[in-house]
This record gives sequence, C-alpha cells and structure tokens, in this order.
Amino acid sequence: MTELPPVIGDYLCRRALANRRPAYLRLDHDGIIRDGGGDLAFHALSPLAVGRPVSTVLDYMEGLLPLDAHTCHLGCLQPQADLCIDVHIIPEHKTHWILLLDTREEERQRRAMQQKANELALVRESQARALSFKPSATGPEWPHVNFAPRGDRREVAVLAADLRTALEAEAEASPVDLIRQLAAMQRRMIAGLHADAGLVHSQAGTTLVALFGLLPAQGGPSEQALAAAFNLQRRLGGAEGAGVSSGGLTPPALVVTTGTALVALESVSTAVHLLALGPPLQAASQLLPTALPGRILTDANTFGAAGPLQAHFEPFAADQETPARTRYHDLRITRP
Amino acid sequence: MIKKKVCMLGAFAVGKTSLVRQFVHSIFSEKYQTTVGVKIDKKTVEREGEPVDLILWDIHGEDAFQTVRTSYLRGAAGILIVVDGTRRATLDTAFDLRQRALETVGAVPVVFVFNKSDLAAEWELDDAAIARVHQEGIATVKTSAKTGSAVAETFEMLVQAMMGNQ
Ligand SMILES: Nc1nc2c(ncn2[C@@H]2O[C@H](COP(=O)(O)OP(=O)(O)O)[C@@H](O)[C@H]2O)c(=O)[nH]1
Ligand SMILES: [Mg+2]
Repeated sequence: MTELPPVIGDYLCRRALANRRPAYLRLDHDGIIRDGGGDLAFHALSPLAVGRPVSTVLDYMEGLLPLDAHTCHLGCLQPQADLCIDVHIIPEHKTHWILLLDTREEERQRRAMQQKANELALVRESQARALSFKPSATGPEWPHVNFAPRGDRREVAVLAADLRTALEAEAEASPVDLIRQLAAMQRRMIAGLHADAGLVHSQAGTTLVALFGLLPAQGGPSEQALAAAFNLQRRLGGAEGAGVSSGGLTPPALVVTTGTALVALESVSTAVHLLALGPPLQAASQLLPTALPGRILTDANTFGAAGPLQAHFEPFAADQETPARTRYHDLRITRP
Repeated sequence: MIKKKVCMLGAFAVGKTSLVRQFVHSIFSEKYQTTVGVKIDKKTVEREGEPVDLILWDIHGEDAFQTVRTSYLRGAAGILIVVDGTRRATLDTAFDLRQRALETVGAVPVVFVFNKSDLAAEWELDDAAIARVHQEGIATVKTSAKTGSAVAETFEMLVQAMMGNQ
C-alpha cells in the first residue's frame, strides 16, 4: 500500500469512523470476552459480560471461531430489529479482536435501491413468462411493452447466443445428460436475459435470440443488450476468473447488433408470442456461426452506443482473414 | 445448551425471510421487503427432550447486484436452500448456491425447500423435477410460508440431520 503522511492517514481514519459508533471486544484463546471499549452501549453490550463466552453474548458468533490467519468480515448483520452492523473479526496469536461498526445508514440506502431493482426484476420475469411461456387462462391481456402490440417499427438490439461448442466439447457425455445440461444452461440464460430486460424471441436447438428495447428499462437498446451479454458471459464462465461454473459446458458465443425491426405480439391459442422481423435479426443469425465461445461479437455502431460499458470490454485480436470481420469488434470481458 | 447455526439461501423473493418469520413469529405478510445483508433470528426447538438453539441466518437473495458472500456461511451446521416453485430459474440458482456452500463449509446437511406450495396453479416445477433433485441425494420438502404448511417440519428435518451428524 502507498505510504500516506500521518495527517492524511488520521483524516481518513476519522472520516471512516464518523457516525460508525465503533466498539471492540478482545477475546482470549477460548473465545471468552476479556475486555472491550468504544460505544458498547450502542451495540447493546453494556455492561460488558467479561468472562463469558462471546457466542453466549452475541448469537451470531456461533461457529465462527477460531479463525485461521485471516480476518473475517461480515457485512450488514441485523442481530435485532434496530441494529445493522459490520462485524470484523481479527485474529492475533490465537486470540481475537472483534470490531463492530454501525451501518444502518448504508443498509437503508442499499435497501431502497435493491427493493426497486428486485421489484422491477419480478415484474419483468412475469411479463416475460406471459409473453413466451405461460398461457393465461383468460386469453391475451397484452403485457406492458413499450410498442404497439398489434405491430410497430422499433429500434432494437438483438442478442443471439449459441451453445454449439458445448456439444462438441462434451462429445463423450451421454446424450441425455448433455441435453439436460444444455436445457439447464439455456434456462439460466433465459432467466438472465429476462432479468436484464430482454424478451426472448426464439429458441431453436443450441441457439437463442432475444430483443432489447421493448421492455421498460434504463439505457438504450445497445447498452441493455451489451450489459446482458456481459452478464451472461460473466455468469456462465466466459469471463476470466468468473466464480460461477457453467455446469461443465463451454460458454456461449454471443452476437449483439442493432437496427430497426418490425415487432408485434401475437396470441397463439392462449399464449402470447413475440414476432420480430428485420435486418438486425438477419445480421445476428448470419454472424453467429463466426462468433467464438466466451466472447461477444458486435458491430461498431452498437459498441459506440454502449456508453460507459465500453470500459469493460477489450477488442480481442481477431484473425484478419475475412475482411468483413475487421468491421466488427470481437470483444472479451476485461473487468468482470 | 446446544447451539446450531442455520443458513437460509436462495434466489431473491423465494420466501427465505417469510419462512423464518413464519417459523419464529408465526406471521406472514404478502408485502415484499428486500433483505440487505443478513437478519439474525433465534428459535429454541426440542430434540429428544433437549433444547437446541437454532441461530438462523436469513441471508439476502442472490440477484443481479448481490452475490452471497461465503463468509456468511462460516460455521453453519445446516443449510436450507429455498426455491420458488412458481419460478423455475430459482432452482438453477439453488444448485449454484449449493455448490458454493459445499465448497465453503463442507458436507453439512442441506435441504432444498420448494416454497409457495399454496400457489399450486402457478407452479413451474412439477413433481418430476423435485424427484430428480431427490435422486441426486438432496433432501427435499414442499412448504408454504403463507399457510405455514410443513414449515416447522422443515426445520425439524434439518435438526434431525444436523444432530445425526454428531
Ligand atoms: N403465496 C405465497 N407467497 C409467499 C410465500 N413465501 C413468500 N411469499 C411472498 O414472496 C415474496 C418474497 O418473500 P420473502 O420472504 O421476502 O423472500 P426472500 O427474498 O427470499 O426473503 C413476498 O411478497 C412474500 O409475501 C408462500 O409460501 N406463498
Ligand atoms: Mg429476504
């Protein structure tokens, strides 16, 4: 870490602790409270139960000790209705220090944002279900889309995904297992696309096509689609160092492109389907066979409209054989 | 006094908080209130005449913004992974979380809880899907945090499995 002058260090320390009501406990090697200090009253620890095992005083300490060499950070614990705290456990020669900080304000802010995001995600999920899967008993009630359900011409972004290489790589697996894995991965992709405000237009074999710009969401269609592509690769293991497994399958090849399309909703028996037609859909399906697994192939216009998201991508050195390819960005995620 | 840390895991809005509230306070609310961080609750149950304190960690849901930090799982003696029967994708999230939990805390008892059984008409998961989970050697149960159906039994089942481990 950079060495800071004491005056700056002290300032940062004071800033970080302002309104945080810090309190600490010192435990012996048996997890017995030896002493403590700071704002113990705020943390409902006053008078301090010196001599008692910490897990009988703080329920959430059950099972946590002893730590090996590393500190342990537990963010935003709510041990009772009116408390929200950060707990840091710091080991020192087989004894432990516990640092408690008030995070009610942070929790309040995060909760407000999270609440909106989750509610929106639930609405989108149910809309998407109404659109492509779930027949409604009463016949089509058009879900809330931002185009005329009977037919409209819209700027959309198309995201096409292909899992074909998953089949090649897993040639030894039994067909049943493979199909199951593929289906599970496609379900996860569809759930991800819905969560990112995409509407699934078609699913055939190993490919999946979704449209962006048709459900209420923030940002333009390009931005939404590239964000969704980014999230897919990150979640399905396309990004380097991604923590989530893709169930053993190789990640999808993705194409994102934009343009004007004709869109409409159509009810077939009792289910509602999205119909779409136009150059971006055609372009996406033509480009898809040239896209590589784990990466995102997109055109200069779409990428140019991606705003701050651009910083997360890096053009991947594409082979220069086909001149047409040079007009496209072959993207690799750099900062998951 | 025996104490056991139990973690509730699952996608967002599957009913983790509702299950704990039903189990501990016997109340249910239709209103959805997102959990940020972890709500800690406690309930004493009896097992063979002995009281057992369950320390319940109601952990925030897995969603686009928050991935579950594995530090929360430290010291867990049992894990309930909640699935929303009306949202099929929450089962995939459940498998992901189970994998991560096993890597963090090792082979502690895990139960897959298929919640919202009162909304039968909206279910996207059929009995065959649940049977397949069972075939993988994972304990399964169907609950409703709304009606209270099988809620206490679910925690009992986990206690059995946790104590059997000793
Ligand atoms: N009908 C029904 N709704 C439920 C049930 N469990 C939870 N809910 C509702 O589902 C939403 C999310 O529940 P919550 O417990 O906050 O989910 P969490 O995010 O997993 O903690 C709330 O609106 C609850 O009222 C259930 O068993 N049946
Ligand atoms: Mg909750």
